[in-house]
Amino acid sequence: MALAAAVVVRGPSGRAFVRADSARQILAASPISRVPNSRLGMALVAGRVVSVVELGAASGALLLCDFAGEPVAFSGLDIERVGLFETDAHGANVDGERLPELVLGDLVTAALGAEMGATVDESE
Amino acid sequence: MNLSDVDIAELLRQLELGEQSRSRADRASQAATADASRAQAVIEAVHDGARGLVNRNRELRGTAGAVRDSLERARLAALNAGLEGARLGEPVGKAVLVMAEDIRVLLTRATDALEEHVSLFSELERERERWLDELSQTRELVAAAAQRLRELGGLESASGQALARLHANLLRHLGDEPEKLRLFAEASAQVQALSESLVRLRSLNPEGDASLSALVEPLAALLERKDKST
Repeated sequence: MALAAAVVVRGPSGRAFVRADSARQILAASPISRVPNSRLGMALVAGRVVSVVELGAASGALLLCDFAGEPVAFSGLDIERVGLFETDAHGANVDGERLPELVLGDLVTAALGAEMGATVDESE
Repeated sequence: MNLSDVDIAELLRQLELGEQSRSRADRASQAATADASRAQAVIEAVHDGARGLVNRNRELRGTAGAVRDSLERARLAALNAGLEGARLGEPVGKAVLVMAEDIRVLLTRATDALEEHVSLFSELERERERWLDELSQTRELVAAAAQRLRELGGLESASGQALARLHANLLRHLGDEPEKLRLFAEASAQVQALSESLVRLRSLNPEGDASLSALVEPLAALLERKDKST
């Protein structure tokens, strides 16, 4: 196992970690505008409109990450701490607990996939 | 109905006693009314003080909200500092990461302590609200008692005036007789008591002391004439 910088979060599914390489900034929550028929939202962050993936009820913080070169924010996560933890392909050891990795790409794809699925259903 | 002079004298005596009692009651009522007014003033002051305490408590809780927001933003800044340290990598980045984590822990403890204080403020506020309610009820009771005392004083004053008018009317009717009648009534009462004492004394000495009989018989005759005149 190797030491890696990670952000420990708590979401609707429990505690998990996000690799620090993917996390750009942690922000105080700002108002999120819902996009109709979509799991995505929009928020104004540092003068830019960014997409927001809502993973749960508002927690007061946004985790701004990079996804395919674009900023994407995640809401509904309690940001617990940032640190160096022993990690491998299956997770990280944090305070004696084994935490899974929150793969942001999968979350964005799932959100986009739901939107695409709805669009496909409507077109059929 | 014809009243005897003795009855009139007794009536005057009772009127005087009534006026004296009413006067004492009036003084007591005034003193009680003054006490109730002072108590009312004290309770008003305490009530105002308690209301001030409750308002101050609310202000403190409001201030705690601003402190909570500041602590949260500072915590986010510490997390971001840790992220920057992570991006810097070893060895400098690790030092930054460690310092940022230490600061985050301190801020979290400060937030927890603040929440305890806020909880305490809320509890104190609830207790003070209950205290304020009880004080309000006491204030209303004291105000009602003070009002009743004032009404009582008014009634006593009215009854005193009525007694005084009755006394004045009676004196006007009697002219210069009332003093004589009063003295006569007192003498009559004393004679009655003396006669009863002598009769009891004679009963203890049935052989009869002539001097006792000489006293008792005229007194008995005097009392008989008094009874016939009534």
